[in-house]
Amino acid sequence: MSVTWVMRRSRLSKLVNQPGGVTVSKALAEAAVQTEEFRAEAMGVVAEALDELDAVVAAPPAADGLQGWLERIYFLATRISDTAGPFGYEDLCAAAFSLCELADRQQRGRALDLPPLKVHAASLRLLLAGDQPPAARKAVLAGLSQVVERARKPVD
Amino acid sequence: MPDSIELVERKSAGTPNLNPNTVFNLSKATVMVVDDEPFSLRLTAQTLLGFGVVTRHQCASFDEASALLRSHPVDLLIVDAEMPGRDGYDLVNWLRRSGFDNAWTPVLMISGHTPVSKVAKARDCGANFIVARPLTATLLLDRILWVAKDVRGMLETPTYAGPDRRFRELGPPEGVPERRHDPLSRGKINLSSEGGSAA
Repeated sequence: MSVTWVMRRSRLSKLVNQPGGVTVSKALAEAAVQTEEFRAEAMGVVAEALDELDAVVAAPPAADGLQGWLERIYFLATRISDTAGPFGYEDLCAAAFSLCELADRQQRGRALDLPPLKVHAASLRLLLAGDQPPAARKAVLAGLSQVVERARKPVD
Repeated sequence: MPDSIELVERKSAGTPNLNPNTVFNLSKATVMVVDDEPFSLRLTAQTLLGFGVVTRHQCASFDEASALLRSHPVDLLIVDAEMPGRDGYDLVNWLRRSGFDNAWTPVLMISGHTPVSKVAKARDCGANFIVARPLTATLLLDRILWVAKDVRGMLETPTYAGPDRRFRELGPPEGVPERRHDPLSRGKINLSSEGGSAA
């Protein structure tokens, strides 16, 4: 087996140390300013994804449409996580991540288990509302973790 | 293959600990962002603007990105792992074996949840680092500055092309376990722990 090993310094490593530039604190402050205008739009995207998730979960598919249906749920969960993440919605992202895991397991197992999916959809809406105390939010996440743990684990 | 979800660990592992007084200069760096989600694409590009990056290429697909990478020098590639059709892993794999000037450009792979079916693909794609969402500005900057210091040599073998996966002097970013200590090495694969996994 041939192995080529090349030692090379990236151009990025040279550029980043050039004179001038900014401090980390200034850069992060500026990034916050630059992205804040996206917050309302982000929450709109999340709300739309949640609406669609509710609609999808409310209409489970026939057996031959299961994979595509679960794929859609997985996609919506990643959209929620990806969009809300940069704005600090850690609990919401953790719940969305949990839903990804659940949908992935059901896809691999080729078996529909609707109640855990519904619980996730409802929990996401609860967490988005943001009016729960931290302990309650933590409890919601712990509950979701248990739901996923109990879900059928497909054999890979 | 174990696939347990670890919500608590995910939130606590690999939290960036950037020194606020560290000075860096990205004003002359050309950065390409590849993401099929238009909102995430714009948001990441805007975050980079805050970091002082002036030249930002935004691409929504493998095809768009690969066309630009053939002819335009890029200093850093930030790629979303999950894209329809040919995904981010495919893009980096292609790039590493392309023979173009950009073939060994530093790559940050951004990943949300990694389906079990793609774990091996993620591990072998050749990215410098896999950054797990949620992608905050602090996490992104921390990983950019880390990858700028990444002095690992580049390996090309019949089965893998990318950075030498053994850390020697630099080590992974603070808070991120080395591979020999992380679940990947023990068969407990969870590439989505916050802070990501060294590739």
